[in-house]
Amino acid sequence: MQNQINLEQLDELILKANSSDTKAFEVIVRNYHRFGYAVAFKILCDEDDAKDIVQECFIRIWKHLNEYDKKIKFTTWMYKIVVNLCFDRLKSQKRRRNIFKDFDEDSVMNVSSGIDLEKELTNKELAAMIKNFAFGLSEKQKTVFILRDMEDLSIEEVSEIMNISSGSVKTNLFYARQSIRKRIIKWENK
Amino acid sequence: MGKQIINCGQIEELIFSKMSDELTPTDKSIIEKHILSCPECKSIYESTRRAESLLAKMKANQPVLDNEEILVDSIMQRVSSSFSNHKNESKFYFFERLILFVSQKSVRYALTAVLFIMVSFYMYEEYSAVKNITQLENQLNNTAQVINTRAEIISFDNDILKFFYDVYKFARGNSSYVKLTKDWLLVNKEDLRNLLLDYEKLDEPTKAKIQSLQRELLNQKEMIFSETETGKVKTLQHEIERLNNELQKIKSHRGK
Repeated sequence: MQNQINLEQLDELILKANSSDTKAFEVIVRNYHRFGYAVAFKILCDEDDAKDIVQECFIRIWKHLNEYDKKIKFTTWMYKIVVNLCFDRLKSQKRRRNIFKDFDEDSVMNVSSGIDLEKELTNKELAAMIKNFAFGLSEKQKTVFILRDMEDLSIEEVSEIMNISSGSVKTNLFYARQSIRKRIIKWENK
Repeated sequence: MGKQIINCGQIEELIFSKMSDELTPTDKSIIEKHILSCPECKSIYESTRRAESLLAKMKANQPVLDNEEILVDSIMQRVSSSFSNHKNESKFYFFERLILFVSQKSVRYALTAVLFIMVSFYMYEEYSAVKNITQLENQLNNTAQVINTRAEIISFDNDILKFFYDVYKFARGNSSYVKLTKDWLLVNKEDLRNLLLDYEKLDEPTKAKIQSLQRELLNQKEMIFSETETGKVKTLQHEIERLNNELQKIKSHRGK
């Protein structure tokens, strides 16, 4: 397990990685890949897809590290890449098959019905719950909810990552929260 | 806001728009007052709080990343290979960019148009040049014919005729036939000098006679040079012969 690095160290590592220092870049990867994986997994609800996204994300970061603007947080930049890659992935999945046809409301509800919340959730259970609670939400609403309420990012960060206004973030968040809480209540009462 | 009449819709909006830790004390106070007298909103509020605690549990359960090392190694392997590829790419970066640029349809059309214009211009230039060369060649041939005629006439002259002719040209600063006579002048430079010295020694009447003949000769020559018809040239050649004889006489007179 890699020790967490501070912002100063991160700046230094980025500088070295910009000079093609792969060792420095590896330290960055080891420190941040879990963050990228968590967001990608929650958006895509699939382990393998999330791993692919993390790989793509770091390759993209490596190739475009010289374009990194220090004015924004490194994690914000990374999340932005992850979210864009996830959206691209969802689009291509939609083209191949309509994924939403695989899950009607009841089947989604049933998948998550036997989950014991007192125990640690497995990836499958977590994915089933997200699918269940975020059912019917648009990709934008779901992602805003994940970034704000599950990853604890600020409205401004979500706005930067999603490339939408703060107002739009708040509106999407309101609908997402309302819908998710209603679905949780429905799920509990089942 | 406390004095405002709050309906169930507004309470619901307040509950759903904010997480419990985002509610202000005023918000909480409004909700609490409302749910005291509204069991439906109370139910929603309590359910929402339970939903929130469930979401908090979900939030605490981050997805497990198995085979983490494999993922990191895989990323680094791709980074290294892209790095070496990038190094190789950079050598041909300019050419690749150029090929990409040229492969664009609009650029291809533009380049074809430019090429077509350039080829057309080149061909026109070539055509003009060939035309000019042909014209010049014709001129040269004509000139050569004239020159031959002149050479024929001049070869007909004796040294004295040439001498006076050149003296006349010298006097007038006329160099239009220099090319013809230059070689001759070089070869006969010494003779010419002597002839000139001799000419200076002549008495005035003889000089005047020579100048008169010289003028007549030149007039005839100019006529010859402007003529190309053989018959006329021959007539003029006879005239030159006559003048030449006159000059011979003068020469012999000078010798005396």
